[in-house]
Amino acid sequence: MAEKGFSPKSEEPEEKLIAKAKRGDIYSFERLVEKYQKKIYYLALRMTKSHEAADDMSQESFIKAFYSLKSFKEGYSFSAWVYKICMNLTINYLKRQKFVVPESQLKKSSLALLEEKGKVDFSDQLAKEELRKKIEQEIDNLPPDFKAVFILKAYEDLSYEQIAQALKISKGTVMSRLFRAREKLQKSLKEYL
Amino acid sequence: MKCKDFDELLHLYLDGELKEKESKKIEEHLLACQRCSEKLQELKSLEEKAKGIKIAEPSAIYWKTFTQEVRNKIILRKKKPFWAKFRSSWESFFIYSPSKLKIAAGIASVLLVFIIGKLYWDYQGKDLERIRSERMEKALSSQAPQKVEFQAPMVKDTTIVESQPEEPTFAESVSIIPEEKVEKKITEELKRGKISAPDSTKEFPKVETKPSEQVTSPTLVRKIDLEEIGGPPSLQETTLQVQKSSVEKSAIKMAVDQPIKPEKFGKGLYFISGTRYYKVDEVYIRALTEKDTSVTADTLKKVIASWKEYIEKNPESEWLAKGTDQLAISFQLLFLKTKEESLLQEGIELLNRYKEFIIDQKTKDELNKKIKDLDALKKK
Repeated sequence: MAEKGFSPKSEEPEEKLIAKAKRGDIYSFERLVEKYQKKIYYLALRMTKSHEAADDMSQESFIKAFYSLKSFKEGYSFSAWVYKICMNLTINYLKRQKFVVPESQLKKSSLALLEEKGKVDFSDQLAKEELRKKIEQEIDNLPPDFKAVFILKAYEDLSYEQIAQALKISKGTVMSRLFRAREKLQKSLKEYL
Repeated sequence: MKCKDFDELLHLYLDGELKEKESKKIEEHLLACQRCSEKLQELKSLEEKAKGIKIAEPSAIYWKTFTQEVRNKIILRKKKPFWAKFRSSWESFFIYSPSKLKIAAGIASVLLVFIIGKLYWDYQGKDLERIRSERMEKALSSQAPQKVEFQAPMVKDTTIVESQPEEPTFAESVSIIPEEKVEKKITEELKRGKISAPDSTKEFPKVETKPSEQVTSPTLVRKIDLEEIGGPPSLQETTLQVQKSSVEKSAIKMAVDQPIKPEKFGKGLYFISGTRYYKVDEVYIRALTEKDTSVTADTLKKVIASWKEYIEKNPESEWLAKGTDQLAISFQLLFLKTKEESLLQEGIELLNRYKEFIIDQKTKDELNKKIKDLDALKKK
């Protein structure tokens, strides 16, 4: 399978490491973890916006992968498989957090205050920082399923096919979710784009 | 193709998901359409700005320890004993999640429906039971009073006496038949075709007064001829007619369940519905005095028959003195009723014969006195 963005470089072929790990060789599995840990962590971090949660989700993704190795089909992309596990975990985490009011919503951002006063100046470094926060906030406000598609596309640069595999959804659903996520962001960030 | 139709295609174009031919078509449209061109620029800007957001990188030590952490957790989870796994899953059970809330609400609803249904069902059941018992009581009260059978031992044609104007409710002897016995007898009779099942709409029986008269109308209590039944003497008694309807059957049950209880008055003497009876070997025989002039001839005859049978069978019984005394009174009263001399003669002969069985002189003298009285009455 053609993969973008997560083709690891390794001395020992991935297939061999997987085969060994399947037999219970934890050190071979460690090599696989080393290859993908950053990608999985950043993905979790993009989704959760919290180091603690990202740390927890990424580690849990690898642990789950280790215990589910027997069900892993040969010829399938290991990274895509771990992506899938990680996305499931983070989406569930976000759905659980739905009832928790994010901190960003409790405090009105300084950008919002500036906007209200009509004193926005984007040439200012502070304003740029506030814009970044605003974009982050809008992405955060997306429903977890839409957010997952958007992040996998925008940050991981995965193809529709890969996203569909990672999230176990159809390509048509990927297209639809991505379109709606972008439309929503475009609408809310129109004056900043 | 309208401008809006390009909206979705613009996303695919941006992501490189369109074929070459389709991409060219879009490019041609973009040259001509300012709106779509601006939209594409916005999409690109959004992607760039989003990608431009950098996230804080963890320290190098974190990455070094990451693999180690994962390994340790794998080993720990592998070695985790059952109770620890159970505990962790138990703890996670109490962590709030919307799905758990939905499941709990579902279970609670099902339980609530079940409990309400059960309570309602139980309540209805009780209500039905109450209505049934009320109907039963009503049926019983509207029908005959307690049914009791009467029979004079050794009298071929037993007679049922329920209520007679000049007589007490009970006749010479009363046998209270246990329920099982009655039902057994009914079954036997039905099999032999001697009795027929009554119409449930018919009323409870009327009193049967004439001996040897077979009751043909469906009654709850009826006389059964000994020869007709052909059963053993112990069962040659009045029996209850089989009831088909549950109400009537219950009425029988009630009648048998609540027999008239004899109240003990003295040694061997009992009161049953205000009338005195001697309990002689489980048989109740009407107790008589010279004042009982209202007692019918039939009853007197039956009292005589009862005592006669008893003394014949038990000549040495302690009831001998009382029996002969009662015989003397019965003959006297019967004579006064019928004015038949032959009856007095029969009584005198009988008592003279029974006198020989008496050992106690005092009792013998008393009996002699009674015989003399009868003789005097005869002469008079």
